[in-house]
Amino acid sequence: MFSTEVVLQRETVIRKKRRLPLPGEVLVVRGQKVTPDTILAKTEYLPGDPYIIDLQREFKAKLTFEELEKALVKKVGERVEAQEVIARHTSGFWGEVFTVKSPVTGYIEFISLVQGRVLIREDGRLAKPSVIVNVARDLDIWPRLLGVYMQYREGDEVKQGAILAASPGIAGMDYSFAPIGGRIERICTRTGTVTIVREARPTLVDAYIPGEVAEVLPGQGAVVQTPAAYLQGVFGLGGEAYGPLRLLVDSPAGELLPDGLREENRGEILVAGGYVGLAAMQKAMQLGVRGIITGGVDAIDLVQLLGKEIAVGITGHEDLAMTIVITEGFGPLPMNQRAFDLLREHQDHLVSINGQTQIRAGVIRPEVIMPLSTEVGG
Amino acid sequence: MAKPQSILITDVGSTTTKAILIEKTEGEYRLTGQANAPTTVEAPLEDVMIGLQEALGHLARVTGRSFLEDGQLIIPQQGTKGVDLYLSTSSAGGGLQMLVAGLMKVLTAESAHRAALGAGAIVMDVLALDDGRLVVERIKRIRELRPDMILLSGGTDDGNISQVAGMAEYIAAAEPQPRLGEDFQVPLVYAGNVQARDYVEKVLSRQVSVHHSNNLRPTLEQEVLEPARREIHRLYLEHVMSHAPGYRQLLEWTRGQIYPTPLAVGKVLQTVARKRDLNLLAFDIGGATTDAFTVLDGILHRTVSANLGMSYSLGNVLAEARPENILRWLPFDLSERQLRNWNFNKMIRPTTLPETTEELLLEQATAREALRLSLQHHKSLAVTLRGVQQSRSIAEVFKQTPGGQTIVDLKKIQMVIGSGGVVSHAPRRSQAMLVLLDAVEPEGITSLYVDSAFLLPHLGILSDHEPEIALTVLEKDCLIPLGTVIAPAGIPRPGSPLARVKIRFPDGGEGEEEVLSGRLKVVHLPAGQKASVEIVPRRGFDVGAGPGVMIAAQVEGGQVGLVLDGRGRPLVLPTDPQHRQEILWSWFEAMQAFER
Repeated sequence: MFSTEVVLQRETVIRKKRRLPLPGEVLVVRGQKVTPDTILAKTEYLPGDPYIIDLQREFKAKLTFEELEKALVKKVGERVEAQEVIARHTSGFWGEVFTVKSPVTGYIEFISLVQGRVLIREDGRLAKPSVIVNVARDLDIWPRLLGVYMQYREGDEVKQGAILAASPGIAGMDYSFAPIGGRIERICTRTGTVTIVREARPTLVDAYIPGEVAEVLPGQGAVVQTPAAYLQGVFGLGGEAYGPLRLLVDSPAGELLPDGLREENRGEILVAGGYVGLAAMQKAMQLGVRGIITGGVDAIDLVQLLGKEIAVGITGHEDLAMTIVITEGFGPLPMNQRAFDLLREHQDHLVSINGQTQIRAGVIRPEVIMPLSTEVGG
Repeated sequence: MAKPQSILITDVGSTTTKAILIEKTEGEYRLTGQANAPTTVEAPLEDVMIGLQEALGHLARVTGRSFLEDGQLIIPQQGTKGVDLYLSTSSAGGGLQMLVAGLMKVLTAESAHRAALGAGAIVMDVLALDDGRLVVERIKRIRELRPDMILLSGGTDDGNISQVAGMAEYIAAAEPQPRLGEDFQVPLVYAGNVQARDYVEKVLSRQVSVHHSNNLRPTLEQEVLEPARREIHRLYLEHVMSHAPGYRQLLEWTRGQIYPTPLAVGKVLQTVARKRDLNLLAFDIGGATTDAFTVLDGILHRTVSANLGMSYSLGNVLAEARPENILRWLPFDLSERQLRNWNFNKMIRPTTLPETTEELLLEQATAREALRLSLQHHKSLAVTLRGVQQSRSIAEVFKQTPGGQTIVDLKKIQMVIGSGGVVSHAPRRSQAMLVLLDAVEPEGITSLYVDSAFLLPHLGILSDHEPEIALTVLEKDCLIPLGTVIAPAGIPRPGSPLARVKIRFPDGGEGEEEVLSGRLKVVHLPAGQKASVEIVPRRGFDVGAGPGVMIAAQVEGGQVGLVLDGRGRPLVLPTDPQHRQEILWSWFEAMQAFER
């Protein structure tokens, strides 16, 4: 349960733990002064993609459970190099030996003897930036007819496991799957191949608040600390944002009107008083305003701004270019005087806001952080 | 064994621990006290016993009976100290969270889903070979979930082995980790093809602790859920509960008698249905979720509507029901804008209570829709078995209903119970009754009750030990009879009555009433009294025996009385706002639910 009282602190110390989702490199040192956009850590590590190998298909035979067990030369957890043999099977009158090789360097993650499948997890560090899939061979079609069977065009994004192309085969449909997720760079009708490029975006974590690095978390990120004033909202939309704070109303009950918005508000965090309507929010978003702090807003306007229902009280991850922090509730509601006065005191200062809200369980509330140190903030 | 003189029962909920004391006074078992304290299963305290002892402290002050000595429960009772029997239910820490797996979504996976729900579990996910997920996704999902227990089903006996084994391999590959505790393996109940037992054991024995139960679907035509439910409950006590913080001691105190809360509620409902020889429907509307139960021919069906509730999930009720469906229950003008603002304000401040009549009407309008949706959900899950061959007539072939039809027939339901703040604490009982009537639309003759003190879990676990005592307390201290409704099913024509009802009152008096089209009428019949009725429906209207067929029955009174509902089924509201509001007012006034 949370209190309906406004949580407001004029002077406190805010500590933010900023971590990468995956191990990476920390770019700051302890004691270093940072601004919200300072990159604290980055990682180019990508979790490897899984590859599924169908042994029955590779051996072109239906093997029994025992035969499969005998054929496998690798166990779960073992490392394999690209082109290393993972299974070997002898069959036929002449004792012909069939082998199955690993397409990538990685680890054996899963073996299904029942289905005759092996799952190899590619080592992310060695992952090739692109993969060429021989679709014409998979489907047994003429390369120059490739375009007819393709489900994607050049430039399209594909997810791993998606059907790249399909054609009617002898026993039902034949499919060619995307072994990795990425962008289709080339569909070659001469060779019958499709090139998929892995999207290598480095993952970055910024400081979010201005301040000082209080602690370095090796391989993960850092703790940033700053003396600040703090205001908690009751509901919000959108994630972290920062910018100079600007009051566009002169009283807590004031309404932020579309006419009050100017080109120079780009990048700013605006204070709306008691109400902001849909038209003003839309205009602010077009102008590139980073956030709006308001006493009240109509719920239906948020739904329309977002383009979808807000069903459960968990927000913060919506695809919204502007963050919204509500301090009182829904409907036209004057902002409480103390919050308004505090915001007014920090007019023109650099502030950081986050609309993330979770009403159930963990009880996460949206926040406004107003650093006190003018040295970095002001 | 001698009957216990005093019984202590606790329900350790996710936020509140509720303790009650039942004592034999003047030859009768009655509720003599209840007390609450916040549950302490989560950090920083991480020991349920702290909150529980606080609740017992409060209860001792209320009842004058002390329960503890040196931090230990006194059992059996010694004069005014201690109790003869102690039982507990629990849903703390999120209750029993299960992962369910089967082969086909509509066959074994669906049966497994029903088995887990019936055992009182929260089903985290249902995996099936045809659920459209990639192998990797499925393994990743199992790994992320950290379930308390897994139920694996699949294949009929003598049927497919390799696919069940394949599903077992996915589970093995994911190496599921328990949610609570670390030094033990997640229990898995295997209730699939008996021929595949050895193989499943071989594949899974290193990753999980495998326990076998009867196949849920020995043949496609058969569904056997009870053995698996019992096994789930046994493992819940042995493996899951003993690893939750503080539960080891609670298990000792109760001598192993802890039930998951929904299981206990199911038990008491089954006991009521058995003793009274009827079919019933019950709802528990919480802040986040709504549980719906039916007991039909003695068999319990339970569903959980995870995102339909009266506080945290209000936004979802609005999204699923659509605003116009909530607004139609209001006897005044309100814009969608205002409705959404009210709804979201309630969602962000879950503990606020309605302050004005308008707010109360809004809350009850929303509750009607939340209940209506959860009943729909319940009907969609409580269905006949799919995949069963049925012989069909030519007419049925065109209906496209290959199994999977709902078995919830409102005409066969004689009792409806509502539980949860919005109905239990409605300022007037007639409001609660009207909410239930509008949301459920009972057909024929149905008696309605509210759970006044949320004692269903407590009395549920008691009903397994002392069914007579549980029923006595249930009737005297827990269930408030609202009354009985007579609602002929059919589409009414304005101005023409739906049925004629002859009533013989317990004092010998007689009366005759008409069930008038579009109207509600309350006939005075106080709680504890029964009247005989003879209902003659008009042609085309059905009160349970078939269209136009007369029926004679005994009906129970209640705090509201005997309600004659001539609004027809399905219940249709006028589209013209003015007309609709007039009609709503006429119903409110007839029921004395609200005054203009």
